[in-house]
Amino acid sequence: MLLRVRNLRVDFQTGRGRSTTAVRNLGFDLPERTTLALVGESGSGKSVTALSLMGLLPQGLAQLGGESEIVWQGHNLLQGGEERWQALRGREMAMIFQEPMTSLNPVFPVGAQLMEGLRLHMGLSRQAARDRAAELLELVGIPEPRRRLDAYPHELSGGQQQRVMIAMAISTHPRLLIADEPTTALDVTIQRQIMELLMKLQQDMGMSMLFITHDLALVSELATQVVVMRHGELREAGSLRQVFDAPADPYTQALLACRPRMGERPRRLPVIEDFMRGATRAASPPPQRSPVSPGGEVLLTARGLCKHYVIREGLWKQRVFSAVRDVSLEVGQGRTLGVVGESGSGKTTLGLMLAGILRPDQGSVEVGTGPHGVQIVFQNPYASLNPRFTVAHILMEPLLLHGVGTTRLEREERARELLDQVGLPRNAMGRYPHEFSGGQRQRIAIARCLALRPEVLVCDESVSALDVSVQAQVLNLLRDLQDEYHMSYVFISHDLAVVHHMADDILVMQQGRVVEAGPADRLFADPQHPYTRRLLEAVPGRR
Amino acid sequence: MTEPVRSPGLWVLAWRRLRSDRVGLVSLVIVLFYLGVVLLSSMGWIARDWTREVGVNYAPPPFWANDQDETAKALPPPPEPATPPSLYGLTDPLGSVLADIRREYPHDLVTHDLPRRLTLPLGGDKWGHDVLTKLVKGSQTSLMVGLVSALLATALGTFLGALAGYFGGWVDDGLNWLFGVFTAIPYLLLVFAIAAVLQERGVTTLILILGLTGWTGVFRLMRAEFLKHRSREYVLAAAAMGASHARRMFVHILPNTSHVILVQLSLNVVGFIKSEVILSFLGFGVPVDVVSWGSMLNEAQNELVLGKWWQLAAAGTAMAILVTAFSMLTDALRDALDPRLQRRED
Amino acid sequence: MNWSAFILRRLLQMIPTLLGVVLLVFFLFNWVGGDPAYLLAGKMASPEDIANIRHQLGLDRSVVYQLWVFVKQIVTGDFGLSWATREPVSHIFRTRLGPSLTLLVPMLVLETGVAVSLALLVAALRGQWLDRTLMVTSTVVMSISLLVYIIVGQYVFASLLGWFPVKGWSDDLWRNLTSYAVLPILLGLFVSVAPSLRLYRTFILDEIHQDYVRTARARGFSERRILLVHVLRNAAIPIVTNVLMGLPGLLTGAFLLERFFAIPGIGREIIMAVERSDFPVIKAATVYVAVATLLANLLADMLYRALDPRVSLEGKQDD
Repeated sequence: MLLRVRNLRVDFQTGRGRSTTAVRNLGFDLPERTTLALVGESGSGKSVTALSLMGLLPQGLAQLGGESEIVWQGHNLLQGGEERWQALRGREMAMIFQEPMTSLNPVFPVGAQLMEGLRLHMGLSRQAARDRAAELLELVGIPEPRRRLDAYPHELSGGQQQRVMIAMAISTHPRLLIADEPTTALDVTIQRQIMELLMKLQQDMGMSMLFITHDLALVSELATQVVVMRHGELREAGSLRQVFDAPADPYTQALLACRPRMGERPRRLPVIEDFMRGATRAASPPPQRSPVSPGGEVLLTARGLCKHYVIREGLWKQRVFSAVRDVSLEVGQGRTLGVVGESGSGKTTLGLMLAGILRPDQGSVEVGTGPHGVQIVFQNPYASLNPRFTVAHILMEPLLLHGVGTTRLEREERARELLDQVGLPRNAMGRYPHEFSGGQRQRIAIARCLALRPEVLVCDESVSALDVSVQAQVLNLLRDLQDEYHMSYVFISHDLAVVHHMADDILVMQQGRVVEAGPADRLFADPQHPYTRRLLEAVPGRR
Repeated sequence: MTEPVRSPGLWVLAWRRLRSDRVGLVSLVIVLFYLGVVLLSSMGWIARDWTREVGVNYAPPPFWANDQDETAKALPPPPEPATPPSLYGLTDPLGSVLADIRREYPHDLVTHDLPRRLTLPLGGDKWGHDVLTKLVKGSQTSLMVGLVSALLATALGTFLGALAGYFGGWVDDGLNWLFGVFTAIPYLLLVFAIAAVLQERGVTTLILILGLTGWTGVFRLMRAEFLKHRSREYVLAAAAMGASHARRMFVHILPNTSHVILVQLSLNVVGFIKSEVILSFLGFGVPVDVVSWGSMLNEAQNELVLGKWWQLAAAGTAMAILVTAFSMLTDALRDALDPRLQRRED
Repeated sequence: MNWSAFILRRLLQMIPTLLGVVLLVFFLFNWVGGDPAYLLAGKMASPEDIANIRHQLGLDRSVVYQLWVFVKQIVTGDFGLSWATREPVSHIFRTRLGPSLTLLVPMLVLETGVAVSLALLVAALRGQWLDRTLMVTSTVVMSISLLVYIIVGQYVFASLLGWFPVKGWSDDLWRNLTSYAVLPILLGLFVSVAPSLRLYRTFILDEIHQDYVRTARARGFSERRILLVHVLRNAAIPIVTNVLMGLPGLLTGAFLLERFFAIPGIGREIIMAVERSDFPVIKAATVYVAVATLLANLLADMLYRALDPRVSLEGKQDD
């Protein structure tokens, strides 16, 4: 057994003598040459677990419980003292992180960073280290590795940066590679490449890998062992087959069921409460949704939208960057238009133009009832609500601006109704945004949009920052509201499974242009454009 | 109509955090004490008669007088008030003015009917003024100059920074040019230049000089804050709802930058007090008939050579205590108001 | 884009700012302060005297002409004579620069060295008692007026103990450096180290909290190596920029030292000029110090770009 964890407990001091427990009573085994996935939503303690295995918990703030055991090849590291750990770190055990950009030192070339470890840990000479560094870059699939040695991290793409991180990690032939959400910050096609690279290296080098993720679909592709965590505790552990095909724990069952899947389109997604209350997965399959028939009234029309940015380069030169080029679209009443694309595709700029926040340089947006008939729900539930306003203030602001209601009392009553509509308790009125969870905040943001009774709602990555279980609830809410008020949605997301679940029509964007458009069923079943095909193939968990 | 649940606002939370910070709280109490003294003194309730010569020249503080008894006896009696210099037949240009003053304020100047005290709580200066009352009056001047000019500079910097950061484009270019011009000249040199040009010395002049030149630091920070916030999603959402520019700037963004403003304000108070002291010390600050910490230090430098250290100690200590308390309070405010709430190792 | 094009572009960008400084100084001295002729003529001047002086100064000509004269003065460096001493203004600056630099250069070098080493030390011990004690001490040290340090320092170390000369200056650089400048430099150092230490400590702590430090720890490098190689190289960027940007501030920051210790430098000259309302000297000082400031900022920007590979020469530096 390479690594054995028993009774792991981590407490964090939160100031003034108080502390919270991030991980409690965790135990699992990691054999040699095995990939174990540690799965959990935010706050599950999965990253804290990874850091504690490396001995990287912030000193003074985090405290390991006295009973904890981290046993590396028979030796309890928690009793061996810091030197023993220091000897393992970066040699026997290596780690890669979620944000490759910030995880590399920005002021040193990547070659120098690679060579640093090779010289210090492997005792190579300067020239030998340089040669080996180039070999490593080639091994992780970076073209022109000799030339790339002198590149600085910011000169590489996100995927290449993560490849460099991987090259640094494997440079000392570690026996364990800990990968903490290594693909979460990357586009879906790049994610696929990195996953394949990691799987190949794990096989070729005979390492064990501890893969930490929130995404169960990824797990099914690379792990042989799975550990599911929630709120710092272990919920279920076992082989991949066992956890995926016959999950014993209701939370695991819920996680598997909440996530929209490419194969099916239920009207409602199951939510976590259903399972935790004891309902079983065997319950009747959810009814499939029938798409709204086309041919209704068109509520939103955009023609030939373009947006350019002028980038000043020095005093005289300037370069024009086109974020959106010649995009036209129509959304009918009660229908949902899904917009998919990777980062830099211009989908967010398009959303801002549709909502009337950005003025298009060319083209026009027409809305049935005027400019405020389109409202927008953003991605980040922590930035989209004014932190200095109470919920009442947030909800009454649009009413005040548009003269809805003549008195404060009327507006307060209307704000309470809005809270009912999005399923929040009425006593939320006097509270501030920071007192709510991400999902609740997104509900408040939706309620604020509803205040103006919009005809069209633009959802820009509105569920992307949410945990899977919360995501299902918000998606269901959006669906319910659409059925009730016959609103049209423009649903922007990088997540094809979510778009597939929500949309009737699809727009695929790449570098500011629409490369393919059409009804969702046809587009997913029979993609025409090579880029669409690449996107679909990269979706994890399809095989 | 009462809400069923009313959560504490961010200011209340910040106050709670500040209250549990012992250093911050002590600093706050000290600053409030100074402000109280300034208030009482400017209302004329205390230290009104600082010009009265209540002690002997260079009256020492009591504890020093005992130690120095032997030498005091050995020393010749304090020098007589200087005899009026011979005027070589010229008329004293101020003679008539002085006569007028004597006629109007007999009480203030005629003190020989009162017995002069040999010691004073914090000692006396060259003329026998009580250093303690002088200190109170000096604190009033220095603190008032610091506070008012900091308010002026912070308001100006906030407003201009908000315009530049929010609108960008040519507004930003223009205001940045102004910023560039003002920061190209080192701050004290600019203040000196203005002081050289403005012949009349006065507290108001001083406040205007400091306030109109000291806005650049606040401008830079507020410009950056507004630049950052204007594309935040909550501001974009307000735009989608049809909120005007002014509403977005001052109702939405401004409260979210209030912690920066408050910290800048208190940093400016400290900075301007220091500037005032230097200016008044050099004689470019307050006029001769106004006492401030700077003018006290000016007198004190000559007294120190004679071994009369108490005025220097009094003014220096009073200023050091206030500035320390203000700086610690600023640090505490920064922590208490930090929206991230997580400052651990600092 | 290469360096020479970059420097040329930045020099051109300075022109509008310099024009602004010129306008500011011009209007300050010609309008805000009232008529300088009254000042120069003294309290008991007749109207004829005033008119005479106005003519001499060119104040009876148009504003545009006066501005043109001022710009010409700046470009040629000929600001005429000092009103107070009749010494050519250009000569004043040429001769006072040396003593100022004798004071400033050692102060800058020592301050940077001491502050950076102390900042590294306290950053390594962050949160421990030495860190906290030093931080509180530096707050208190910063709170006492510079004037008090100078007055007391001069009295105690020069007058009472006689370790250093009370004041004075010689023509010999070595003698100045080993004797006259020592106490002023030490006092200036004592005052300026505290704020720098606090600032550099924040720069270093900001870097310590970055992700790349976690990576370096995960790669098994020693804390010492992480601090001295990875963190310091990153923190050097704001530190170097800060030192250079603060250069012109030091130039006037040392004026109190120069005045107290009778060092014939630029700072002391400026104070005397303000005391004597010697407008030509103040005007020249303001404009030239502004030029020096802009050049120092350019140098800071160049070093910043040389030190930080993320910033290209093309990009606009946005603070």
